[in-house]
Amino acid sequence: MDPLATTPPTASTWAWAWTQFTQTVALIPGSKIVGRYIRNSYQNDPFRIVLEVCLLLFVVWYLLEKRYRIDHHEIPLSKQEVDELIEDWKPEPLVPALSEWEREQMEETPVLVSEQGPRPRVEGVSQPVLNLVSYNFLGLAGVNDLKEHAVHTLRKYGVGACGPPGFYGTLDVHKDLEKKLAEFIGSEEAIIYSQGLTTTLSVIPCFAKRGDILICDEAINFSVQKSIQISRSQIRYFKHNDMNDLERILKEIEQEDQATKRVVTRRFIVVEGLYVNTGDIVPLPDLIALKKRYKYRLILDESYSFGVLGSQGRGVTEHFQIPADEVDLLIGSMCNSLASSGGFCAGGRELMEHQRLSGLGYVFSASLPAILAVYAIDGLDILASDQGKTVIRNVRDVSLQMYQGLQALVNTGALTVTGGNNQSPIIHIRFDRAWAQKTLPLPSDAQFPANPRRPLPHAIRVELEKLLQSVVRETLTHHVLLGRAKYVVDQERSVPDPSIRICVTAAHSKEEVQEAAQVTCEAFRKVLKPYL
Amino acid sequence: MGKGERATFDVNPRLTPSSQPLSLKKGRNIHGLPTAQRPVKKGLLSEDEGVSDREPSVLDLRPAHCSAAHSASPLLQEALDTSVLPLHKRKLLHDTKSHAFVHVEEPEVPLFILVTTYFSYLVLIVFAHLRDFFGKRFKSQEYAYLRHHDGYAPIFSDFESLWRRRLYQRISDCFQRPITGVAGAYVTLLDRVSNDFNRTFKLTGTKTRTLNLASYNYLGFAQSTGPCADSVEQSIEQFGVGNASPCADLGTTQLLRETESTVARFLGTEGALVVSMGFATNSTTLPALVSKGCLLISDELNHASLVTGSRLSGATIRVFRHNDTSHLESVLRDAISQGQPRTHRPWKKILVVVEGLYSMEGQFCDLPGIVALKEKYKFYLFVDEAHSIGAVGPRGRGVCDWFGVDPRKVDIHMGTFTKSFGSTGGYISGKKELIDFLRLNNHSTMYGESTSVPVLQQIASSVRIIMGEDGTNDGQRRLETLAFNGMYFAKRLREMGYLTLGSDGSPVAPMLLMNPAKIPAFSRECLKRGISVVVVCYPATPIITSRVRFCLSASHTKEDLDYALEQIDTIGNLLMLKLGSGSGNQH
Repeated sequence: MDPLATTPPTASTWAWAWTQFTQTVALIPGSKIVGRYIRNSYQNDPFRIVLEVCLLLFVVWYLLEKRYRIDHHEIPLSKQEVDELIEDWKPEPLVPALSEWEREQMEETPVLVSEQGPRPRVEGVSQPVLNLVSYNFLGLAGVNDLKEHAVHTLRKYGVGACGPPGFYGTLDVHKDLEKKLAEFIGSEEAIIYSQGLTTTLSVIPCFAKRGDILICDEAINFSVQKSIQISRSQIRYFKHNDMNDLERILKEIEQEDQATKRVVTRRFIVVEGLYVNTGDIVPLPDLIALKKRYKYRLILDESYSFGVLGSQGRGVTEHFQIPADEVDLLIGSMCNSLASSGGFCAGGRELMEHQRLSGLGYVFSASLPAILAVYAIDGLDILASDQGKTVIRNVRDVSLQMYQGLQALVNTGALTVTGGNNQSPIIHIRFDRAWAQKTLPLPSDAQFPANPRRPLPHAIRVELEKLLQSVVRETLTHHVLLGRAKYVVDQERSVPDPSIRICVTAAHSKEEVQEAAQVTCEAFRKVLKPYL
Repeated sequence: MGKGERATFDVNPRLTPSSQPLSLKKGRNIHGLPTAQRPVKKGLLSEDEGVSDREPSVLDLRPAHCSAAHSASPLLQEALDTSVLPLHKRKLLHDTKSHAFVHVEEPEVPLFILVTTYFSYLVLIVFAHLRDFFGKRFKSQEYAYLRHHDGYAPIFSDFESLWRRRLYQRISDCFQRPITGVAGAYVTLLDRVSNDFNRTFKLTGTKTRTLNLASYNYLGFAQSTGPCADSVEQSIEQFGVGNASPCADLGTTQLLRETESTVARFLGTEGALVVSMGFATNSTTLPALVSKGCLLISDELNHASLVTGSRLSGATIRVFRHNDTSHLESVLRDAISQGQPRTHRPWKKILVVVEGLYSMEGQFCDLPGIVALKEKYKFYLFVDEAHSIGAVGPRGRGVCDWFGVDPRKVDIHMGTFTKSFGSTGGYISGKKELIDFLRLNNHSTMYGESTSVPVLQQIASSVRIIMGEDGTNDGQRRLETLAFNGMYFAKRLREMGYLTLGSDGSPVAPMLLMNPAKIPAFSRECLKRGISVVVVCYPATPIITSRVRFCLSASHTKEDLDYALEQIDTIGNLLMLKLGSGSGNQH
């Protein structure tokens, strides 16, 4: 090796390197100006040089530093210890084993062997049963004309849409449906989703984000609960349909605003048109007044009220004669009264367009099959016609009929009946808590909660559910199909008390409904005989 | 196997009475014309025309591969001479032994392209902000929804919508193109124009028939005729359409039960649960399986539905680098040994969530690698086979089939029926306990609508055809054709010098476009030439690697693909897209 290569650089080599460097730099156009600027600005300013060198060092240190970690609680372990811990770790089973009662529930889920409709056949029953379970309020499931049109659609479009709306999944029938929906409801534009349940889950997080405020009714359905959870906004609940409580919360937030002087973020009030969990209707006029006074936007879930409330079935807005554009985001479902599938959101154009790129269920999911879109269009056409008015009047009449027929139960003092008398076709029969506490032999270790708004403890809930299921079994022997309202209990925010949920439809005659009410009353009497 | 290598592509004598392609005889002039003059039908198609010349079954299309008309082409000869293909068809289609996982490297992008891409976005974003800045001052009425007004905060901030308003809208003619009829091998677009820079579109009333390289129609089951459609028609007549009830109430039909058992049989699992929407299958199942105190480990490129489901579950979420099993292992080791954050309690359970085939990348997951870790780390495995089920593996049974992994090693199989089955909805499949539990705990089965009759019937019929239970080899032929098409198309793209992503054997062939201006240019050029393609850019992909994604289908004939490749070749020269070595081998 050349010995010279290892000798330390002398002063002359440094000088030589420096001249080389300056000569090279001088070749760069504009370097003179920069050089002059640097020399001038650093003149007689050692402090600045020190500061900037420090800054430079900091940047280097920062870039070389290990990644920032949130978890400061990590315990350093040796490889052997880690291996032992891994060896020792025993995970829980993927799913817990079902309890006996859960297994029973699963096995007792009725299985349709015929077409859906007011009088279908179910497995294990020889005769057709009167269906008081499906949300087929208008009786549109299984209408022959609609079925024929569905077949025609099949022959033109096939079944699946084979892509999300963004990528060649937007069919002409989807556009037609959106247009029809917007026209029917009276909003600027509408957007359709391919599943009712996922509609709110897409719409709400699309607008409400971290830092925004959502005020929500306590009795809101499961899908909205999950949507607001995923939005990561601040959530406040008000007492079910209690406008005073809502105003109290609105005032509270207003005071917080004044105290903190914070920037106003997006604020929404989230309610359901017709509460599926209670059968109540939202007091929309009061709500609109409050929303305007306190500058909130309104998200209205009309999954169950669309096609049912209002003289023409336009939902709760028509019911109260309020123009639909007073509601900022109107969410509905086509799988209930229209007996098709999918959901929609209606509102201003900008809001709908925003969803076409930000609504998760719109962007990342295949669009609605053409058959189902056309089925919904046909349903809408029926609703918009005079026939629609008649059908809706029928629903109301039979609902009232059912409500009246069930009054015998209320008279026993053991049960409460909600819905039916307020134009809602969803009727819930529940145990009166006070009566149940006093009369029923319930597990001794479980206590009724002091606050009537708190959910029941699991053990009591199961006992009540079992009683209701006996009623369901009993009515089925008389060919009346009832159903308990079913929940994923541990995922509900505040699960409603067990109930039998009755859905009457326009396809039921008054006589049938009257008889069904009688059968139901009889069944309750029989099951509750020891306690009444 | 005893058959010759070409067996699968040989003409079935039953189906080719002459050397002419069947399609010609049937008057499908679209397929019969010389490729260079591929017609782009413009103008009003009559309703009937739209129906009749749409979807011949795959059986009609196959023989065209080997027709005399094509044997002259040397390219065809090469493709048919399967020994030229790196993974030739025999191994691909009939070797039931496992495929090894091949890690696909991202192709190297020239520096010049990188710089220009970033620069383009910079210019776009600067202009976007400038337009907003001046717009808000001079056209305050139009921008009212972006500002605080009357005490209301803007419904979406200008920042949140900047991308949509300023970048997406410029090229929005390439997205959400409305179509009519079946999205099969060909798709009929409704022509539209915009007179206000894509703010609104107007339909012109004319239609354009294009070759469809965009729809998820892997096995060609998007059909309005044929055995599936016939059975669907029968079912609609017998059972109606919608159910207006969740499965837990009165949405469980006999048809649903039968379909579920067919699906379980297909997948080789104990049971299956069919859900009415693919997205919801993920977003409503994950919260039922894991909760607070559980750990969910997710691949970084997982689909939005999985992310939604994970976030809904309340479980702690950790992410591992895409398809990097060694990183997964280190995440697992760290998680198990450290326990839950702060408290260090042991995790209740750990669920690893991966996709079988990543559709934006066209890449398989490293299933063998992940399964190998399972024994030691005792996690549960959730595989989302939205794109792979039906489309890959010798029997079409997804990535397990492809890699030869026992399906029982995967705890939760998830998939959708949108892609390969021409239907919609999704499934969860696995052990009986799992399915039973989910029947009572999945949000969709408890609260959401049950799957409608036509959708169910399409699933049941197509799955039976794939399994050969209909007594024909239609399913097998579809699988073979798709496998060939995928392989052939990707190989030819690479030979032309395009930068492609994706594993061999995947029915999705993504190809890099990079520069933002090339995204709409490519799509529009394709449309001019009568081809529909999907272009994808940020936020669906990283900002730099915007791409075009070709979805192959069993209903494409080889001449369809040759036509497309020829045109893509021209477009590639026009847009300077050929940046690769052109070796034809995987990167």
